[in-house]
Amino acid sequence: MGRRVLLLSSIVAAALAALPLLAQEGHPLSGTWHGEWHPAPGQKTSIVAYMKWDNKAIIGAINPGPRSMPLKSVTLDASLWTVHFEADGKDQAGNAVHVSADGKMEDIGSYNRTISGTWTQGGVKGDFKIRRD
Amino acid sequence: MKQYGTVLASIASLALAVAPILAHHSESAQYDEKKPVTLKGVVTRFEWNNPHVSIYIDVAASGGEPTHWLLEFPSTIELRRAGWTRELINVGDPVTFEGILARDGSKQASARTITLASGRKLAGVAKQAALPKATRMTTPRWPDGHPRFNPLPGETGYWSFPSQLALVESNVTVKMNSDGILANIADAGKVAPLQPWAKGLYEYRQKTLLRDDPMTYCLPPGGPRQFHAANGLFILEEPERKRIFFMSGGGNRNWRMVMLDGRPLPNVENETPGYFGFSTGRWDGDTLNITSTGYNERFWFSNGGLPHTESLKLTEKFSRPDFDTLKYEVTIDDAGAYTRPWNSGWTLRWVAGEIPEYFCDDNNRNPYQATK
Repeated sequence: MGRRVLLLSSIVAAALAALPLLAQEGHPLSGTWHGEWHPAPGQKTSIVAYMKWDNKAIIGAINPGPRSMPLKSVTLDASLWTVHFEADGKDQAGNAVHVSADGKMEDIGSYNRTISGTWTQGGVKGDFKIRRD
Repeated sequence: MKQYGTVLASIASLALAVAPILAHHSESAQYDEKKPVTLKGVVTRFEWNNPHVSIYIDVAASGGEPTHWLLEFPSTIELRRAGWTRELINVGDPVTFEGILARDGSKQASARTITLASGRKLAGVAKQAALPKATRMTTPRWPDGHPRFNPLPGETGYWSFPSQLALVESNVTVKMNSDGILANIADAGKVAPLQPWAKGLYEYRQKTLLRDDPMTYCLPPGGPRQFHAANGLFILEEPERKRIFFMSGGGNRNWRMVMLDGRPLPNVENETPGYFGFSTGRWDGDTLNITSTGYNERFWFSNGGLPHTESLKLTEKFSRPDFDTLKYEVTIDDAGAYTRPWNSGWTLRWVAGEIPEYFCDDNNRNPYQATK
């Protein structure tokens, strides 16, 4: 049984290793990003951001799904690789909440590029980092 | 033995020849021209493969274990042009190597020359094939009068020697090397009418010496890049089936099919975007007009790293004004990456003979492959 698990793990690992070959080379913000932000020291909140370039603007949402927060505006300064985005939604209690974030994109040529910076949600500020899946 | 055991970090600059032409990736992304090296060692392994011939040598260290070096050379096709044969190098041969070091500090170097024990010095850089002598013959034609792009019955030949090695908007002059790297990065905005994000990405790719080029890890050269790719291309026409194939001599011998039977382009929303998209064509006098769409975003459609999106639509015109010349004109319409449609074009030359076999995946040792 142990060998089977090992074999399966190896196959999964090999498949994952092959995934980066499916690179995406279009707009650098397009894609699904995973990460977290830190409302306070020792606290972390998961983030999923979905962004898509529609030839005029970046559209998408933070935490797509039942508690989705549609992106209201996204700006990219490709000379400095800085990103600003804003979204509106509701928190778990159903209260309206506004999100804004300012970050810097790193490792732009990589499929798994990152954005990190400052996340502000409902008046609470913390650092964040998201990585493109 | 001691004479083979010395590693000389050459102070004098080497007589650096031009970078390999039409390579499957930018040499400068992986190797540093400013770090010349001379190595004396003994061959432990010799791989006569594409896209790179590899020679492994052991360089003896004073009082210690020998260091193992991987020496990278151009393709077998390019080395043959430079006078190499497969039998020239054997395991156990003492050699002196001159080249440039890998940027990542690994024991790897890209070749400039290699000198055998006999004293024979071999060029280790790609040699451009001599441009075939013009035949000055007229355009060959099919019975229906259309120009013929493939060889006449009983003959051989293919297309190579593109007159331009990267996409640049027509009537724009910028200096760039054979990989498509600009001599002056400030010219980036002149190359094409790029949207701000696309200009930033193009500049990033240029500044990083094209190290993220998907072709480095052997993904296909789709779009106009197929007509820039190393080792030329063969055009296979099947008039009886109303279709035409463009078959690359480089990459992984990739091919693209164009239907000439009057069918419309598919609704790409319902299709899987591809490296070569979906193409239909029709003859207009002596010009074959091809329209293509349905491209994915997983490749670079030009040497030099110009971006594109899934909105890319190409309109291409092919003509053969004389026996020796294939004229290629392309209109790039991509509202996702460019501010307006724009044009480019170049010519290719007819080369007699069979297109040589070349597979990028055969012996690719790109260090970025594992990290992309």
